[in-house]
Amino acid sequence: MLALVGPNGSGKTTLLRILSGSLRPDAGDVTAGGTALTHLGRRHVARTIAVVPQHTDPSLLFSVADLVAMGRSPYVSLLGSLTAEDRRAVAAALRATEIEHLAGKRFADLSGGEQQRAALATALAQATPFLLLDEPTVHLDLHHQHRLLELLSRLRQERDLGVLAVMHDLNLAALYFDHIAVLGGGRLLEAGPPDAVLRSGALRVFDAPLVTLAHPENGRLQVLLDRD
Amino acid sequence: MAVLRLAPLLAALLAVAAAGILYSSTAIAPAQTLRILLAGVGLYTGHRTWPAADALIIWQLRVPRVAAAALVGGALAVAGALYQAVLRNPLADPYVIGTAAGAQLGMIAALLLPVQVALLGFGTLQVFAFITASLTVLVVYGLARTGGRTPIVTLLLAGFVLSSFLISASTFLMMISNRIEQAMQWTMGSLDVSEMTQLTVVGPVILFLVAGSVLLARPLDVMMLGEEQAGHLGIHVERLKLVAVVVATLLTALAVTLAGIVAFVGLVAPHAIRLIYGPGHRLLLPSSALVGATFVVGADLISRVALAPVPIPLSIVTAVIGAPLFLHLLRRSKRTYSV
Repeated sequence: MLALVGPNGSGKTTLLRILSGSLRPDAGDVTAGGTALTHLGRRHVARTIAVVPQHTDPSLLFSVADLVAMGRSPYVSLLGSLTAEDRRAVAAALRATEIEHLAGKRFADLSGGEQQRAALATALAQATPFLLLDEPTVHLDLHHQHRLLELLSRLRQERDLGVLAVMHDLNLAALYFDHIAVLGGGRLLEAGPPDAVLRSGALRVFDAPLVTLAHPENGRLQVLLDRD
Repeated sequence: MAVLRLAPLLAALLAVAAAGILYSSTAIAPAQTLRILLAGVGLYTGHRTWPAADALIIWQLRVPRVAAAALVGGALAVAGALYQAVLRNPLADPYVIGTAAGAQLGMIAALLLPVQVALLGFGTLQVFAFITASLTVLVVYGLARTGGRTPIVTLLLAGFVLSSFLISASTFLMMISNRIEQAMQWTMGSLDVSEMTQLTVVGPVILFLVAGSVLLARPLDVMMLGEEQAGHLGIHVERLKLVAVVVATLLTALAVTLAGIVAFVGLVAPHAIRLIYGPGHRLLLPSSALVGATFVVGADLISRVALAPVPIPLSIVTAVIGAPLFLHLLRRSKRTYSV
Protein backbone atom coordinates (compact mmCIF):
# COMPACT_ATOMS: atom_id res chain seq x y z
CA MET A 1 0.00 0.00 0.00
CA LEU A 2 1.81 3.03 -1.39
CA ALA A 3 0.99 6.72 -1.01
CA LEU A 4 2.16 9.09 -3.71
CA VAL A 5 2.78 12.57 -2.29
CA GLY A 6 4.31 15.75 -3.64
CA PRO A 7 3.54 19.41 -4.20
CA ASN A 8 1.02 20.57 -6.82
CA GLY A 9 2.32 19.97 -10.32
CA SER A 10 4.90 17.43 -9.24
CA GLY A 11 3.49 14.81 -11.60
CA LYS A 12 1.40 12.68 -9.23
CA THR A 13 -1.70 12.56 -11.38
CA THR A 14 0.33 12.20 -14.57
CA LEU A 15 2.12 9.21 -13.06
CA LEU A 16 -1.23 7.73 -12.04
CA ARG A 17 -2.56 8.16 -15.59
CA ILE A 18 0.53 6.48 -17.02
CA LEU A 19 0.23 3.62 -14.54
CA SER A 20 -3.42 3.12 -15.43
CA GLY A 21 -2.68 3.05 -19.14
CA SER A 22 -4.56 6.30 -19.90
CA LEU A 23 -1.35 7.99 -21.00
CA ARG A 24 1.48 6.46 -22.96
CA PRO A 25 4.86 7.04 -21.37
CA ASP A 26 7.36 8.93 -23.56
CA ALA A 27 10.01 6.45 -22.56
CA GLY A 28 9.91 3.14 -20.73
CA ASP A 29 7.04 0.77 -20.10
CA VAL A 30 4.52 0.05 -17.40
CA THR A 31 4.46 -3.71 -17.01
CA ALA A 32 1.88 -5.91 -15.33
CA GLY A 33 2.89 -9.53 -14.77
CA GLY A 34 5.86 -8.98 -17.07
CA THR A 35 3.92 -7.61 -20.06
CA ALA A 36 3.86 -3.94 -21.04
CA LEU A 37 0.39 -2.38 -20.64
CA THR A 38 0.63 -1.04 -24.17
CA HIS A 39 0.79 -4.64 -25.40
CA LEU A 40 -2.23 -5.76 -23.42
CA GLY A 41 -5.79 -5.32 -24.68
CA ARG A 42 -8.01 -2.71 -23.05
CA ARG A 43 -10.12 -5.36 -21.35
CA HIS A 44 -7.07 -7.21 -20.11
CA VAL A 45 -5.71 -4.00 -18.56
CA ALA A 46 -9.13 -3.37 -17.00
CA ARG A 47 -8.99 -6.82 -15.39
CA THR A 48 -5.58 -5.98 -13.93
CA ILE A 49 -5.82 -2.34 -12.82
CA ALA A 50 -8.87 -0.53 -11.45
CA VAL A 51 -8.95 3.24 -11.01
CA VAL A 52 -11.00 5.31 -8.59
CA PRO A 53 -11.05 8.76 -10.18
CA GLN A 54 -10.87 11.85 -8.01
CA HIS A 55 -14.12 13.05 -9.47
CA THR A 56 -17.17 11.09 -10.57
CA ASP A 57 -19.95 13.19 -12.12
CA PRO A 58 -22.18 13.76 -9.05
CA SER A 59 -25.34 14.15 -11.16
CA LEU A 60 -25.32 10.62 -12.64
CA LEU A 61 -28.82 9.18 -12.54
CA PHE A 62 -27.82 5.52 -12.57
CA SER A 63 -28.71 3.51 -9.49
CA VAL A 64 -25.81 2.54 -7.25
CA ALA A 65 -26.32 -1.13 -8.20
CA ASP A 66 -26.17 -0.29 -11.92
CA LEU A 67 -23.09 1.86 -11.42
CA VAL A 68 -21.23 -0.81 -9.46
CA ALA A 69 -22.26 -3.40 -12.08
CA MET A 70 -20.36 -1.28 -14.64
CA GLY A 71 -17.26 -2.46 -12.82
CA ARG A 72 -17.94 -5.82 -14.48
CA SER A 73 -17.62 -4.32 -17.99
CA PRO A 74 -14.24 -5.92 -18.65
CA TYR A 75 -15.82 -9.36 -18.11
CA VAL A 76 -19.15 -8.97 -19.91
CA SER A 77 -19.47 -9.61 -23.63
CA LEU A 78 -21.33 -7.30 -25.98
CA LEU A 79 -24.53 -9.32 -25.95
CA GLY A 80 -24.14 -11.12 -22.67
CA SER A 81 -25.76 -10.15 -19.42
CA LEU A 82 -24.31 -10.36 -15.91
CA THR A 83 -23.41 -13.88 -14.82
CA ALA A 84 -23.79 -15.27 -11.31
CA GLU A 85 -20.12 -14.53 -10.74
CA ASP A 86 -20.62 -10.92 -11.84
CA ARG A 87 -23.51 -10.54 -9.41
CA ARG A 88 -21.41 -12.02 -6.62
CA ALA A 89 -18.60 -9.55 -7.31
CA VAL A 90 -21.07 -6.63 -7.30
CA ALA A 91 -22.65 -7.79 -4.04
CA ALA A 92 -19.22 -8.25 -2.44
CA ALA A 93 -18.13 -4.77 -3.52
CA LEU A 94 -21.32 -3.23 -2.09
CA ARG A 95 -20.77 -5.13 1.14
CA ALA A 96 -17.09 -4.19 1.44
CA THR A 97 -17.88 -0.49 1.06
CA GLU A 98 -20.93 -0.77 3.37
CA ILE A 99 -23.38 0.65 0.85
CA GLU A 100 -25.63 -2.40 0.37
CA HIS A 101 -28.54 -0.39 1.74
CA LEU A 102 -27.99 2.24 -0.99
CA ALA A 103 -28.02 -0.20 -3.92
CA GLY A 104 -31.42 0.93 -5.18
CA LYS A 105 -30.78 4.65 -4.74
CA ARG A 106 -29.74 6.95 -7.55
CA PHE A 107 -26.09 8.01 -7.49
CA ALA A 108 -27.09 11.69 -7.76
CA ASP A 109 -29.11 11.40 -4.53
CA LEU A 110 -26.16 10.23 -2.43
CA SER A 111 -24.00 12.37 -0.15
CA GLY A 112 -20.41 13.09 -1.15
CA GLY A 113 -19.04 10.39 1.13
CA GLU A 114 -21.52 7.83 -0.16
CA GLN A 115 -20.66 8.73 -3.75
CA GLN A 116 -16.98 8.23 -3.01
CA ARG A 117 -17.73 4.79 -1.58
CA ALA A 118 -19.89 3.90 -4.58
CA ALA A 119 -17.03 4.90 -6.91
CA LEU A 120 -14.72 2.68 -4.87
CA ALA A 121 -17.24 -0.17 -5.02
CA THR A 122 -17.28 0.09 -8.84
CA ALA A 123 -13.50 -0.31 -8.89
CA LEU A 124 -13.64 -3.22 -6.40
CA ALA A 125 -16.22 -5.00 -8.58
CA GLN A 126 -13.54 -5.06 -11.29
CA ALA A 127 -11.78 -7.63 -9.05
CA THR A 128 -8.32 -6.51 -10.11
CA PRO A 129 -5.03 -7.24 -8.31
CA PHE A 130 -4.16 -3.51 -8.41
CA LEU A 131 -6.17 -0.48 -7.34
CA LEU A 132 -5.18 3.12 -8.13
CA LEU A 133 -6.87 6.01 -6.34
CA ASP A 134 -6.58 9.73 -7.05
CA GLU A 135 -6.88 11.66 -3.79
CA PRO A 136 -9.59 9.38 -2.39
CA THR A 137 -10.01 11.27 0.90
CA VAL A 138 -10.18 14.77 -0.48
CA HIS A 139 -13.89 15.43 -0.02
CA LEU A 140 -14.45 13.22 2.99
CA ASP A 141 -14.91 14.19 6.63
CA LEU A 142 -12.68 12.66 9.33
CA HIS A 143 -15.00 9.74 9.94
CA HIS A 144 -15.13 8.76 6.28
CA GLN A 145 -11.41 9.37 5.76
CA HIS A 146 -10.73 6.90 8.54
CA ARG A 147 -13.26 4.33 7.27
CA LEU A 148 -12.01 4.47 3.69
CA LEU A 149 -8.34 4.09 4.56
CA GLU A 150 -9.10 1.31 7.05
CA LEU A 151 -11.07 -0.46 4.34
CA LEU A 152 -8.16 -0.16 1.92
CA SER A 153 -5.68 -1.61 4.38
CA ARG A 154 -8.09 -4.42 5.19
CA LEU A 155 -8.47 -5.23 1.47
CA ARG A 156 -4.72 -5.05 1.17
CA GLN A 157 -4.41 -7.75 3.81
CA GLU A 158 -7.40 -9.93 2.92
CA ARG A 159 -7.08 -9.95 -0.86
CA ASP A 160 -3.44 -9.04 -1.28
CA LEU A 161 -4.67 -6.02 -3.23
CA GLY A 162 -1.92 -3.69 -4.44
CA VAL A 163 -3.04 -0.17 -3.54
CA LEU A 164 -1.50 3.02 -4.85
CA ALA A 165 -3.09 6.33 -3.89
CA VAL A 166 -2.24 9.92 -4.66
CA MET A 167 -2.53 11.58 -1.24
CA HIS A 168 -2.67 15.25 -0.38
CA ASP A 169 -2.64 14.73 3.36
CA LEU A 170 0.84 13.73 4.52
CA ASN A 171 -0.39 12.69 7.96
CA LEU A 172 -2.98 10.30 6.59
CA ALA A 173 -0.32 8.91 4.27
CA ALA A 174 2.08 8.41 7.18
CA LEU A 175 -0.59 6.88 9.40
CA TYR A 176 -2.29 4.39 7.08
CA PHE A 177 0.19 3.49 4.31
CA ASP A 178 3.09 1.02 4.29
CA HIS A 179 5.16 3.12 1.93
CA ILE A 180 5.35 6.72 0.82
CA ALA A 181 6.88 7.99 -2.43
CA VAL A 182 7.67 11.70 -2.71
CA LEU A 183 7.54 13.27 -6.18
CA GLY A 184 8.93 16.67 -7.08
CA GLY A 185 9.28 18.28 -10.49
CA GLY A 186 8.37 15.02 -12.21
CA ARG A 187 11.09 13.03 -10.42
CA LEU A 188 11.01 10.47 -7.64
CA LEU A 189 12.80 12.08 -4.69
CA GLU A 190 12.40 9.48 -1.99
CA ALA A 191 10.51 6.27 -1.36
CA GLY A 192 10.26 3.97 1.61
CA PRO A 193 8.46 3.37 4.89
CA PRO A 194 6.70 6.54 6.14
CA ASP A 195 9.00 7.27 9.07
CA ALA A 196 12.15 6.95 6.96
CA VAL A 197 10.72 9.17 4.23
CA LEU A 198 9.56 11.81 6.68
CA ARG A 199 13.00 11.90 8.29
CA SER A 200 14.87 12.00 4.98
CA GLY A 201 14.34 15.67 4.28
CA ALA A 202 12.51 14.92 1.03
CA LEU A 203 9.59 16.98 2.31
CA ARG A 204 11.68 20.11 1.66
CA VAL A 205 10.19 19.88 -1.83
CA PHE A 206 6.95 21.28 -0.38
CA ASP A 207 8.79 24.53 0.39
CA ALA A 208 6.91 25.06 3.66
CA PRO A 209 8.09 25.37 7.27
CA LEU A 210 7.45 21.89 8.67
CA VAL A 211 8.10 20.12 11.94
CA THR A 212 7.81 16.36 12.40
CA LEU A 213 6.82 14.81 15.68
CA ALA A 214 5.82 11.37 16.94
CA HIS A 215 2.16 10.51 17.25
CA PRO A 216 1.43 10.37 21.00
CA GLU A 217 -0.58 7.13 20.69
CA ASN A 218 1.24 5.01 18.12
CA GLY A 219 4.60 6.69 17.76
CA ARG A 220 4.33 7.12 13.97
CA LEU A 221 5.80 10.34 12.63
CA GLN A 222 3.39 13.16 11.76
CA VAL A 223 3.96 16.48 10.07
CA LEU A 224 2.86 19.91 11.27
CA LEU A 225 3.19 23.33 9.73
CA ASP A 226 5.39 25.68 11.72
CA ARG A 227 4.13 29.25 11.50
CA ASP A 228 7.01 31.68 12.01
CA MET B 1 -38.90 -6.85 -18.20
CA ALA B 2 -37.62 -4.40 -20.79
CA VAL B 3 -40.19 -5.70 -23.27
CA LEU B 4 -42.97 -4.96 -20.81
CA ARG B 5 -41.80 -1.39 -20.53
CA LEU B 6 -41.73 -1.01 -24.31
CA ALA B 7 -45.28 -2.35 -24.72
CA PRO B 8 -47.16 0.85 -23.72
CA LEU B 9 -44.92 2.90 -26.02
CA LEU B 10 -45.61 0.53 -28.90
CA ALA B 11 -49.33 0.72 -28.17
CA ALA B 12 -49.18 4.53 -28.27
CA LEU B 13 -47.36 4.42 -31.60
CA LEU B 14 -49.96 2.05 -33.09
CA ALA B 15 -52.80 4.25 -31.83
CA VAL B 16 -51.34 7.42 -33.34
CA ALA B 17 -50.47 5.57 -36.55
CA ALA B 18 -54.08 4.36 -36.81
CA ALA B 19 -55.29 7.94 -36.38
CA GLY B 20 -52.81 9.04 -39.03
CA ILE B 21 -54.12 6.49 -41.50
CA LEU B 22 -57.81 7.06 -40.73
CA TYR B 23 -57.71 10.82 -40.97
CA SER B 24 -57.30 12.61 -44.25
CA SER B 25 -58.76 15.38 -46.36
CA THR B 26 -60.43 12.86 -48.65
CA ALA B 27 -63.15 11.31 -46.58
CA ILE B 28 -63.14 7.53 -46.50
CA ALA B 29 -65.24 6.04 -43.71
CA PRO B 30 -63.11 4.53 -40.90
CA ALA B 31 -64.81 1.13 -41.28
CA GLN B 32 -64.08 1.21 -44.98
CA THR B 33 -60.44 2.14 -44.30
CA LEU B 34 -60.14 -0.72 -41.88
CA ARG B 35 -61.54 -3.18 -44.42
CA ILE B 36 -59.16 -1.91 -47.07
CA LEU B 37 -56.23 -2.28 -44.67
CA LEU B 38 -57.23 -5.81 -43.65
CA ALA B 39 -57.77 -6.81 -47.26
CA GLY B 40 -54.33 -5.48 -48.10
CA VAL B 41 -52.69 -7.86 -45.67
CA GLY B 42 -55.02 -10.72 -46.60
CA LEU B 43 -57.11 -10.68 -43.43
CA TYR B 44 -60.36 -9.55 -45.06
CA THR B 45 -61.93 -11.99 -47.44
CA GLY B 46 -65.41 -10.47 -47.79
CA HIS B 47 -66.72 -8.51 -50.76
CA ARG B 48 -64.53 -5.70 -51.95
CA THR B 49 -67.21 -3.04 -52.13
CA TRP B 50 -64.91 -0.04 -52.23
CA PRO B 51 -63.79 1.95 -55.25
CA ALA B 52 -60.28 1.13 -56.45
CA ALA B 53 -59.31 4.76 -55.91
CA ASP B 54 -59.94 4.43 -52.17
CA ALA B 55 -57.61 1.46 -51.87
CA LEU B 56 -55.04 3.40 -53.85
CA ILE B 57 -55.32 6.38 -51.50
CA ILE B 58 -54.92 4.19 -48.44
CA TRP B 59 -52.08 2.03 -49.70
CA GLN B 60 -50.20 4.45 -51.92
CA LEU B 61 -50.60 7.65 -49.88
CA ARG B 62 -51.62 7.24 -46.28
CA VAL B 63 -49.82 4.09 -45.22
CA PRO B 64 -46.48 5.12 -46.75
CA ARG B 65 -46.82 8.57 -45.22
CA VAL B 66 -47.41 7.22 -41.73
CA ALA B 67 -44.70 4.58 -42.14
CA ALA B 68 -42.25 7.23 -43.33
CA ALA B 69 -43.13 9.48 -40.38
CA ALA B 70 -42.53 6.62 -37.95
CA LEU B 71 -39.21 5.72 -39.58
CA VAL B 72 -38.03 9.34 -39.62
CA GLY B 73 -39.02 9.82 -35.98
CA GLY B 74 -37.39 6.59 -34.83
CA ALA B 75 -34.20 7.31 -36.77
CA LEU B 76 -33.83 10.88 -35.50
CA ALA B 77 -34.63 9.93 -31.90
CA VAL B 78 -31.99 7.18 -31.83
CA ALA B 79 -29.51 9.46 -33.60
CA GLY B 80 -30.12 12.10 -30.91
CA ALA B 81 -29.67 9.61 -28.07
CA LEU B 82 -26.41 8.35 -29.62
CA TYR B 83 -25.00 11.86 -30.18
CA GLN B 84 -25.92 12.83 -26.63
CA ALA B 85 -24.09 9.82 -25.22
CA VAL B 86 -20.99 10.11 -27.36
CA LEU B 87 -20.61 13.89 -27.16
CA ARG B 88 -21.61 13.73 -23.48
CA ASN B 89 -23.88 16.66 -24.12
CA PRO B 90 -27.62 16.70 -23.38
CA LEU B 91 -28.38 19.13 -26.21
CA ALA B 92 -26.75 17.17 -29.01
CA ASP B 93 -29.40 16.49 -31.65
CA PRO B 94 -29.08 15.92 -35.40
CA TYR B 95 -30.76 19.28 -36.01
CA VAL B 96 -28.93 21.32 -33.37
CA ILE B 97 -25.42 20.12 -34.24
CA GLY B 98 -25.91 20.61 -37.98
CA THR B 99 -25.86 16.98 -39.18
CA ALA B 100 -29.31 17.35 -40.70
CA ALA B 101 -28.32 20.52 -42.56
CA GLY B 102 -25.24 18.71 -43.82
CA ALA B 103 -27.30 15.78 -45.06
CA GLN B 104 -29.69 18.18 -46.76
CA LEU B 105 -26.93 19.95 -48.64
CA GLY B 106 -25.62 16.63 -49.92
CA MET B 107 -29.09 15.60 -50.94
CA ILE B 108 -29.81 18.78 -52.85
CA ALA B 109 -26.43 18.53 -54.55
CA ALA B 110 -27.34 14.99 -55.56
CA LEU B 111 -30.74 16.15 -56.85
CA LEU B 112 -29.01 18.62 -59.13
CA LEU B 113 -26.66 16.05 -60.61
CA PRO B 114 -27.44 15.40 -64.26
CA VAL B 115 -27.09 11.64 -63.71
CA GLN B 116 -28.74 9.65 -60.96
CA VAL B 117 -27.20 6.31 -60.14
CA ALA B 118 -29.11 3.86 -58.04
CA LEU B 119 -28.17 0.42 -56.85
CA LEU B 120 -30.85 -1.62 -55.09
CA GLY B 121 -32.76 1.61 -54.53
CA PHE B 122 -29.84 3.26 -52.83
CA GLY B 123 -28.74 6.13 -54.90
CA THR B 124 -26.63 9.19 -55.07
CA LEU B 125 -29.18 10.86 -52.78
CA GLN B 126 -28.47 8.73 -49.73
CA VAL B 127 -24.75 8.47 -50.38
CA PHE B 128 -24.29 12.23 -50.81
CA ALA B 129 -26.44 12.93 -47.76
CA PHE B 130 -24.35 10.58 -45.65
CA ILE B 131 -21.04 11.98 -46.86
CA THR B 132 -21.92 15.62 -46.24
CA ALA B 133 -23.54 14.78 -42.89
CA SER B 134 -20.37 12.93 -41.81
CA LEU B 135 -18.20 15.86 -42.84
CA THR B 136 -20.45 18.19 -40.87
CA VAL B 137 -20.12 16.03 -37.75
CA LEU B 138 -16.33 15.96 -38.13
CA VAL B 139 -16.10 19.74 -38.48
CA VAL B 140 -18.52 20.51 -35.62
CA TYR B 141 -16.83 17.97 -33.36
CA GLY B 142 -13.38 19.32 -34.23
CA LEU B 143 -14.46 22.91 -33.59
CA ALA B 144 -16.36 22.21 -30.39
CA ARG B 145 -14.04 19.80 -28.62
CA THR B 146 -11.70 21.18 -26.02
CA GLY B 147 -9.70 19.16 -23.53
CA GLY B 148 -11.49 15.86 -24.01
CA ARG B 149 -14.95 17.32 -23.59
CA THR B 150 -17.53 18.85 -25.87
CA PRO B 151 -18.84 21.82 -23.89
CA ILE B 152 -22.45 22.76 -24.50
CA VAL B 153 -21.72 26.33 -25.56
CA THR B 154 -19.04 25.55 -28.13
CA LEU B 155 -21.06 22.67 -29.54
CA LEU B 156 -24.13 24.87 -29.99
CA LEU B 157 -22.11 27.69 -31.54
CA ALA B 158 -20.25 25.40 -33.92
CA GLY B 159 -23.50 23.64 -34.84
CA PHE B 160 -25.36 26.90 -35.34
CA VAL B 161 -22.68 28.54 -37.48
CA LEU B 162 -22.17 25.47 -39.63
CA SER B 163 -25.92 24.86 -40.00
CA SER B 164 -26.46 28.44 -41.13
CA PHE B 165 -23.70 28.14 -43.66
CA LEU B 166 -24.93 24.79 -44.97
CA ILE B 167 -28.51 25.99 -45.27
CA SER B 168 -27.33 29.06 -47.19
CA ALA B 169 -25.35 26.79 -49.48
CA SER B 170 -28.44 24.59 -49.97
CA THR B 171 -30.55 27.65 -50.77
CA PHE B 172 -27.99 28.84 -53.27
CA LEU B 173 -27.94 25.45 -54.98
CA MET B 174 -31.73 25.47 -55.16
CA MET B 175 -31.76 28.98 -56.63
CA ILE B 176 -29.52 28.01 -59.51
CA SER B 177 -31.32 24.74 -60.13
CA ASN B 178 -34.38 24.03 -62.20
CA ARG B 179 -35.86 21.65 -59.64
CA ILE B 180 -36.41 24.29 -57.02
CA GLU B 181 -39.91 23.16 -56.09
CA GLN B 182 -38.99 19.61 -55.30
CA ALA B 183 -36.03 20.78 -53.29
CA MET B 184 -38.11 23.42 -51.49
CA GLN B 185 -40.56 20.83 -50.26
CA TRP B 186 -37.73 18.87 -48.72
CA THR B 187 -36.16 21.78 -46.91
CA MET B 188 -39.43 22.57 -45.15
CA GLY B 189 -39.56 19.11 -43.65
CA SER B 190 -42.29 17.24 -45.40
CA LEU B 191 -43.47 13.72 -45.86
CA ASP B 192 -45.20 14.43 -49.16
CA VAL B 193 -42.16 13.19 -50.99
CA SER B 194 -42.09 9.74 -49.49
CA GLU B 195 -42.72 7.04 -51.98
CA MET B 196 -43.32 3.41 -51.27
CA THR B 197 -40.35 2.37 -53.41
CA GLN B 198 -38.02 4.54 -51.38
CA LEU B 199 -39.50 3.26 -48.14
CA THR B 200 -39.00 -0.39 -48.93
CA VAL B 201 -35.29 0.25 -49.26
CA VAL B 202 -34.59 2.86 -46.60
CA GLY B 203 -37.07 1.43 -44.08
CA PRO B 204 -35.33 -1.90 -43.43
CA VAL B 205 -31.96 -0.17 -43.16
CA ILE B 206 -33.31 2.24 -40.53
CA LEU B 207 -34.90 -0.64 -38.60
CA PHE B 208 -31.66 -2.60 -38.79
CA LEU B 209 -29.60 0.33 -37.49
CA VAL B 210 -32.05 1.11 -34.69
CA ALA B 211 -32.08 -2.54 -33.57
CA GLY B 212 -28.29 -2.75 -33.92
CA SER B 213 -27.77 0.36 -31.80
CA VAL B 214 -28.95 -1.62 -28.76
CA LEU B 215 -25.68 -3.57 -29.02
CA LEU B 216 -23.92 -0.35 -28.00
CA ALA B 217 -26.10 0.11 -24.90
CA ARG B 218 -23.77 -1.31 -22.27
CA PRO B 219 -20.59 0.51 -23.34
CA LEU B 220 -22.59 3.73 -23.85
CA ASP B 221 -23.76 3.49 -20.24
CA VAL B 222 -20.14 3.23 -19.11
CA MET B 223 -19.26 6.26 -21.27
CA MET B 224 -21.46 8.33 -18.95
CA LEU B 225 -18.65 8.02 -16.37
CA GLY B 226 -16.35 9.97 -18.67
CA GLU B 227 -14.06 8.82 -21.45
CA GLU B 228 -11.02 8.18 -19.28
CA GLN B 229 -12.93 6.16 -16.69
CA ALA B 230 -14.68 4.24 -19.49
CA GLY B 231 -11.22 3.35 -20.75
CA HIS B 232 -10.28 2.12 -17.27
CA LEU B 233 -13.33 -0.12 -17.39
CA GLY B 234 -12.12 -1.76 -20.57
CA ILE B 235 -14.17 0.18 -23.13
CA HIS B 236 -12.53 0.91 -26.49
CA VAL B 237 -13.60 4.55 -26.29
CA GLU B 238 -12.44 5.77 -29.70
CA ARG B 239 -13.87 2.72 -31.48
CA LEU B 240 -17.19 3.09 -29.67
CA LYS B 241 -17.41 6.78 -30.52
CA LEU B 242 -16.69 6.10 -34.17
CA VAL B 243 -19.31 3.35 -34.45
CA ALA B 244 -21.96 5.35 -32.58
CA VAL B 245 -21.36 8.51 -34.61
CA VAL B 246 -21.43 6.60 -37.91
CA VAL B 247 -24.73 4.91 -36.94
CA ALA B 248 -26.24 8.22 -35.76
CA THR B 249 -25.11 10.04 -38.88
CA LEU B 250 -26.41 7.30 -41.20
CA LEU B 251 -29.78 7.42 -39.42
CA THR B 252 -29.86 11.21 -39.75
CA ALA B 253 -28.95 11.11 -43.45
CA LEU B 254 -31.62 8.48 -44.20
CA ALA B 255 -34.24 10.43 -42.24
CA VAL B 256 -33.39 13.59 -44.16
CA THR B 257 -33.71 11.83 -47.50
CA LEU B 258 -37.21 10.74 -46.46
CA ALA B 259 -38.52 13.96 -44.96
CA GLY B 260 -36.03 16.78 -45.07
CA ILE B 261 -35.02 18.50 -41.87
CA VAL B 262 -37.38 17.72 -39.01
CA ALA B 263 -36.27 19.69 -35.98
CA PHE B 264 -35.80 18.64 -32.34
CA VAL B 265 -37.04 15.02 -32.54
CA GLY B 266 -33.64 13.85 -31.31
CA LEU B 267 -34.06 16.01 -28.22
CA VAL B 268 -37.70 15.42 -27.35
CA ALA B 269 -37.78 11.63 -27.47
CA PRO B 270 -34.63 10.70 -25.49
CA HIS B 271 -35.26 13.31 -22.81
CA ALA B 272 -38.85 12.25 -22.35
CA ILE B 273 -37.64 8.67 -21.90
CA ARG B 274 -34.89 9.59 -19.44
CA LEU B 275 -37.55 11.16 -17.23
CA ILE B 276 -39.54 7.93 -17.17
CA TYR B 277 -37.04 5.10 -17.49
CA GLY B 278 -33.75 6.68 -16.37
CA PRO B 279 -30.46 6.92 -18.24
CA GLY B 280 -29.74 3.24 -19.11
CA HIS B 281 -29.29 2.88 -22.88
CA ARG B 282 -30.66 -0.66 -23.12
CA LEU B 283 -34.10 0.81 -22.55
CA LEU B 284 -33.36 4.35 -23.72
CA LEU B 285 -32.48 3.49 -27.32
CA PRO B 286 -35.48 1.31 -28.28
CA SER B 287 -37.98 3.39 -26.32
CA SER B 288 -36.63 6.62 -27.80
CA ALA B 289 -37.21 5.09 -31.22
CA LEU B 290 -40.84 4.34 -30.36
CA VAL B 291 -41.45 7.75 -28.79
CA GLY B 292 -39.72 9.54 -31.68
CA ALA B 293 -41.84 7.59 -34.16
CA THR B 294 -45.02 8.45 -32.24
CA PHE B 295 -43.96 12.09 -32.01
CA VAL B 296 -43.40 12.51 -35.75
CA VAL B 297 -46.51 10.52 -36.78
CA GLY B 298 -48.51 12.72 -34.39
CA ALA B 299 -46.81 15.92 -35.54
CA ASP B 300 -47.52 14.99 -39.16
CA LEU B 301 -51.16 14.42 -38.28
CA ILE B 302 -51.32 17.82 -36.56
CA SER B 303 -49.62 19.45 -39.53
CA ARG B 304 -52.37 18.12 -41.78
CA VAL B 305 -55.28 18.85 -39.44
CA ALA B 306 -54.40 22.17 -37.79
CA LEU B 307 -55.04 24.53 -40.72
CA ALA B 308 -56.74 22.01 -43.04
CA PRO B 309 -56.91 21.99 -45.96
CA VAL B 310 -53.65 23.95 -45.92
CA PRO B 311 -50.84 21.71 -44.58
CA ILE B 312 -48.26 23.22 -42.24
CA PRO B 313 -44.65 22.14 -42.72
CA LEU B 314 -43.90 19.24 -40.39
CA SER B 315 -40.81 20.87 -38.94
CA ILE B 316 -42.85 23.81 -37.68
CA VAL B 317 -45.00 21.46 -35.62
CA THR B 318 -42.04 19.62 -34.12
CA ALA B 319 -40.30 22.93 -33.41
CA VAL B 320 -43.32 24.31 -31.53
CA ILE B 321 -42.94 21.38 -29.13
CA GLY B 322 -39.17 20.94 -29.32
CA ALA B 323 -37.94 24.53 -29.03
CA PRO B 324 -39.36 25.18 -25.53
CA LEU B 325 -37.86 21.88 -24.36
CA PHE B 326 -34.53 22.88 -25.84
CA LEU B 327 -34.61 26.20 -23.97
CA HIS B 328 -35.59 24.44 -20.76
CA LEU B 329 -32.64 22.03 -21.08
CA LEU B 330 -30.30 24.89 -21.88
CA ARG B 331 -31.41 26.74 -18.77
CA ARG B 332 -31.01 23.66 -16.64
CA SER B 333 -27.56 22.94 -18.06
CA LYS B 334 -26.34 26.26 -16.64
CA ARG B 335 -26.53 24.45 -13.37
CA THR B 336 -25.26 20.90 -13.21
CA TYR B 337 -26.55 18.50 -15.76
CA SER B 338 -25.59 15.19 -17.22
CA VAL B 339 -27.46 12.91 -19.56
